[in-house]
Amino acid sequence: MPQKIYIRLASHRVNTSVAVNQRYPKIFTPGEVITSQNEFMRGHGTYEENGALKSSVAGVREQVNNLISVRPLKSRYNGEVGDVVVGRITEVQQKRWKVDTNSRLDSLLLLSSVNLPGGELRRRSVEDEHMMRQYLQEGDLISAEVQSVYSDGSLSLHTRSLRYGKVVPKQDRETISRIRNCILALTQSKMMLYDTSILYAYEESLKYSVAELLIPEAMVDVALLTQQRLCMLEIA
Amino acid sequence: MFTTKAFIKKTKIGNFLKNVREHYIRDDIFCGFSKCGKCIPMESCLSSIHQNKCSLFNFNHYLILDTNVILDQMDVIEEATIGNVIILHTVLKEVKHRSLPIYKRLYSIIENPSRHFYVFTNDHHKDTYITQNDGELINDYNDRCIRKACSWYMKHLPKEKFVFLTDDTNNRQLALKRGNSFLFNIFLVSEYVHHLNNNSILEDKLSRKDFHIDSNTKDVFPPHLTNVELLTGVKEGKLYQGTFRASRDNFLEGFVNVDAFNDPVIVQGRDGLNRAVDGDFVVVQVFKEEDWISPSEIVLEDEGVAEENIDELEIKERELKNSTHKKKGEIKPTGRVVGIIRRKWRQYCGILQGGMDGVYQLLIPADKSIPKIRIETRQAEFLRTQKLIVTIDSWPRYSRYPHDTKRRVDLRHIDICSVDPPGCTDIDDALHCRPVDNNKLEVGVHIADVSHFIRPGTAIDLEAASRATTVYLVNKRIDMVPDLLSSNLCSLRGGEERFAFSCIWEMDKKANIINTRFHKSIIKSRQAMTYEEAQMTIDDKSKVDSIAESLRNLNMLAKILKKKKIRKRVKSKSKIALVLASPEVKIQMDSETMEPLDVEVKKLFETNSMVEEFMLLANISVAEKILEDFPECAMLRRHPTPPSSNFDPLIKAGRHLGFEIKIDCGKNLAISLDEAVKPDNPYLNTMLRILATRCMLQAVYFASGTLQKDEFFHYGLAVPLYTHFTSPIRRYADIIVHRLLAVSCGSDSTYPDLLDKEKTSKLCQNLNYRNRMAQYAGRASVAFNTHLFFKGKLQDEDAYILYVRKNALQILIPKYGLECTLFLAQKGETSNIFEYNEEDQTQKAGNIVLHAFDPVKVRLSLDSNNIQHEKFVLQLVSPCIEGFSVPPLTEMEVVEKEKRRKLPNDERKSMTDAKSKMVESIMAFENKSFAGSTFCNLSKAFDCAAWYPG
Amino acid sequence: MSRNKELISKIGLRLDGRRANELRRIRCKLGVFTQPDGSAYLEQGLTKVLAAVYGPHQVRGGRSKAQHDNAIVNCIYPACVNAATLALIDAGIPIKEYVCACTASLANNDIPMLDISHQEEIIGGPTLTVAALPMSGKIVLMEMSQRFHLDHLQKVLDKALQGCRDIKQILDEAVRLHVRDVGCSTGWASTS
Repeated sequence: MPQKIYIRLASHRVNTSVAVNQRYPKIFTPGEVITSQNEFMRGHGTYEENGALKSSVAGVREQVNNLISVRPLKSRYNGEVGDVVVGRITEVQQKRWKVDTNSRLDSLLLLSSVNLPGGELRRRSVEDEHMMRQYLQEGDLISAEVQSVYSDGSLSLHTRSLRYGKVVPKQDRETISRIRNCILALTQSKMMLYDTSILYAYEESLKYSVAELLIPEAMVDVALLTQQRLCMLEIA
Repeated sequence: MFTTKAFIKKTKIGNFLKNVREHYIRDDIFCGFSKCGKCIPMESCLSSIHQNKCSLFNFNHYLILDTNVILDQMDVIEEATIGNVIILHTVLKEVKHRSLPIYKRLYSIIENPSRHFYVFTNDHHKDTYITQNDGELINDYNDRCIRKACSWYMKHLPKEKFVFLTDDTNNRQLALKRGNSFLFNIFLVSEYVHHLNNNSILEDKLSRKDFHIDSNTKDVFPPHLTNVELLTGVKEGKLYQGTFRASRDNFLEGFVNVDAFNDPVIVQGRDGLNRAVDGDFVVVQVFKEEDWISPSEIVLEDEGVAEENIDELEIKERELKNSTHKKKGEIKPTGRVVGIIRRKWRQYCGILQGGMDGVYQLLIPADKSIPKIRIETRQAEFLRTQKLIVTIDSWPRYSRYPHDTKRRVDLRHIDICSVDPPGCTDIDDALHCRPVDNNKLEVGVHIADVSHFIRPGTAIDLEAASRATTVYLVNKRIDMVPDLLSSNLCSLRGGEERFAFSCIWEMDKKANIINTRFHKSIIKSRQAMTYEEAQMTIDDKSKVDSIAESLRNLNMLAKILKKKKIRKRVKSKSKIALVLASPEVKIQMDSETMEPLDVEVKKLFETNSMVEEFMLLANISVAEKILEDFPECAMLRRHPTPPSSNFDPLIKAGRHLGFEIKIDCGKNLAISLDEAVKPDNPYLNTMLRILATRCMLQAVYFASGTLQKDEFFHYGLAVPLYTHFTSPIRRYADIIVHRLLAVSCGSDSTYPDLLDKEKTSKLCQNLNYRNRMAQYAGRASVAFNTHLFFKGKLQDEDAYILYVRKNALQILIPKYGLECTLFLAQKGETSNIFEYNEEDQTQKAGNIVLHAFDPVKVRLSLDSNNIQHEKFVLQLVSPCIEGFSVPPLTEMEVVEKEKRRKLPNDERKSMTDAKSKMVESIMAFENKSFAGSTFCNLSKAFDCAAWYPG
Repeated sequence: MSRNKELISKIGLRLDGRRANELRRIRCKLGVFTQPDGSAYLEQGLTKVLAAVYGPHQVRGGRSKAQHDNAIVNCIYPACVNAATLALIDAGIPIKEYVCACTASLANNDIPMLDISHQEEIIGGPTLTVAALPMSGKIVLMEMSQRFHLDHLQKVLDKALQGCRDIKQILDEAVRLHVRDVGCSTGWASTS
């Protein structure tokens, strides 16, 4: 089936910015001195050189007591316990899967953290280890919850709930695609992603087909409508 | 500042290529007027004081020139009366693109602040930049840019008046249509110049394109092909390109060196030459092989009086055609010139041809390979006795450097002496030799440390680099470096402390070099000797002082060195022959009476070759050292092996005499030359050597990085590496070599240009060119003096036949180093006395056969009919040939002539061929572009050229 | 030298109209792609560069090559270095300071000249490429296209470093603008 492909010049790009004029905090860029006083502690996004605390990323300053850090506005996913994530299996190892969750390091899903058919308390046998690939294989998409964070920053996931596990049904997939495209639309316009914003975006996107949501104009439209609803929410 | 881009489409051969270039438009470009308050002021030469006086206007004004004006009327623009000119950058670029020489001339005017020229960068100025329209031709676009800039100036500075000069009618029309003509003053250059005050010089210089062409005149030359035709022809291989060289003897013949053929392509006759001038880069069409001919053996000179006089030319052409034949084995590719790609015109020296009235005159160049030139002047009467000459730039005042003895080895205690010809004031070299331990000898060659005084990049250095060499003329010397340096501070005079650059060898008694070292030093020469003095010191057994001892040792070593050489030095031997035969004979003249005081050949002593031997050794040692340390940029000297075809005349001549000349290598050549001796003709060997010398190529300087190692070879000296180190006072190459060596031994630092292979290579080209010119000037000077000497004299001299030609004999008179032509037949006739035998190269008359190298007696006189080309006329005295030769002069006649000669002295003022040649060589030597060329009396000119400032 | 072409005219303008110490026009933009973690587009004169940063992510394949605290970025043109710096900043990867690269050359064998265009490079002259940390003045990389005399090095190098500082100024402005833009849209929250 021939597919329509849209090609456009860079100069005809749609400006995706929906920024509203606001007061903005001081922005630090790499190498910039944050403070020369030495009573502060060095946090993320900073380093010390010649007795001065300097920024190593471009972002805004955050301070907790004596700890100064600079937070970049965009970085890899830093998971916290309880987050629900969608990830993709990248590797099947002994007793565990590796899952790409778009953080710095791949997350782990232990064989012991999944519900296997046959009840909660079933002992994991050697057969189960051999069967791992039958259950989840490379490339599968799963949803899971962050169980704990290791010392190196990588995440341990679990799917011990019926809500989690491999994403299968067709309708679900379409919904997922729609949500994905909505999220894409929101991120492209640099909007915050949270339940309400995604929900609104989802609702606003229903007038488009899933594929149409990849057209830049449609994406901006969705983002704009979402932002308007969010604004109204704030006013209310 | 705001930026935008220009798109330029460029077509390469066959392909279309789109080239995109950045183009920045600026708002900080100065209009050039200091009074203007709107622009950011910068440097500008425009002057509010300078006035352009033209009767067309009653106000002072500024000129804006169109490209075609600059291209066509450069001579006018070079006149100082024209000033306050705004040159638009568009115009400047166009000029550069169209003609580089004109661009250079224009640039030198712009750089001269007294001319008040200003370059306005209109194409980067925000208000004058315009974009090229689609489909607009580049010429139209440029014209539009120029008009835009003009109108901008008028708006920008409403108080000032501007005049736009153009010869392009189209541009003029458009400009008039566009602006209102009250503000916009547009004129043709001719109109403008015509109304200038004092315009007579300027009007002469106006170049005219609209030459009156009479439709009745027949075409003298076939038309050239168009550029496109030439290019496609060359590309398809139907036509060939190469450099045109005019023949020395025959003005209707020339050669084109084409890569595709081994032999140069012959072009003959007016149609064949088709307006090519010596040195031009031309395209030739080569005829079918059956039409190929061999070079003519006839001597023809252009004697046409008036331009219209084609008849005589045709006679000569016929003569040439008749003499043309197809000699087997000598048939060379033949063709005709169909187009000229690049002219190589330079400034020529010459005089007006007399007997013509009106504004059109013919100029006869002194160089015979250049055709006559038609000029237009209103000052013919004035110019009749004049000649063009260049002016020498002033030499900057010499500043004395503080003496420092740092990093110098003190050699003042060593007994050093110098050996030179008598009367030499620029002593560059000195020698010493002393015994050291273990039965060894230490030999030192000490060269004047010129590079200590001449620092790179200084005015003195730049001038020396452009002069390249000292020129030696008869009784005159044009120095490369100022007199104070050359004859005093650098010169290693006896008894004075001097800085030197020393090359010191340790040798055993068999002249094997044990080690070599180089360092800067301070020396005190004990004595400056002549060759003769040195020889006497060596021979006088009663002298046992250290100088005598060291000279004896040196002499001993030199002899061993010479013997040890497996190679025979061909070049140095043929050099001796040259001294005898070429115009390099030494003539000593009494400046008052022009009497020859001495025409003897220089005496040669053992000490001559002693000094020479050590200089060679020093040069070779230095060459090795600098090549090792600077593989890319060492300045070396090479002497290319001549192609074997060059030796053909020599072999042929040898064969006629019954000798076999081997040319496979320098050594065999020298041996076979040594063996070619006939007891009854002692001069024969010398003549063979003269021929051998003529087969050689020129030795040249080069930068080591530009050639392959096997090309470094010096054929004449038969050494793999050679350079010039020993005469820095009179040769610039030596100064460079000194600097390189100084870096090598850590006593000096480098500077950028020294290590730049390209720069060095460029410098070499200049040095080679100047050396050649200096040589020509020197020879011409001798020839000139010889001519003066023979003025009105009639003399019988012993001579030899050098070549046998079809209608002439080339005669060599050893006593004066003269080589002349003895015509055997009148112009346009074939001789009925002589029979030419091509195979044996002989002329036969009755039972007398004239061979090459035969001794003859000739009568020598000077033909002054053609004032510029005075030439020697020879008549045969013996062998006696009925109806051709003349009887020997009696004693009486000589005396008679002698008396007559002493009468008119003003004759000396007349110009001779030799003198013009000399002046031309010097001009080329002093190759400065001379803005506002001065006319000046020739004899004065010569003095000028020799005049040495500082 | 064919060479004998003048790179700077008597009036002090280069072939394209710049002065000796002027950079070519630089236009840049951060975050031009959605797929990679960081990306940037940079135009320096007619040189156009797109840079994308993927990661940091788990090392795939051979583990032995993995280095945890540094990374090597290979670039062909100086402009690539500048674009890569922007992309890294966009990706939120900590770096000590901007890495800027600039070329300098010697015009007419005498005048140091900044930011060599392709045209100028073809005509000739040695090109010195310097990548530096402009604030601390440290040189990360220095490369020469051909030899030139030591006497010239210091002034050409100074010129190149000056260029690096100028470029840093331009990049920094672009980064601040970008961060402000994104910050305003997101309400200054972190995105991934």
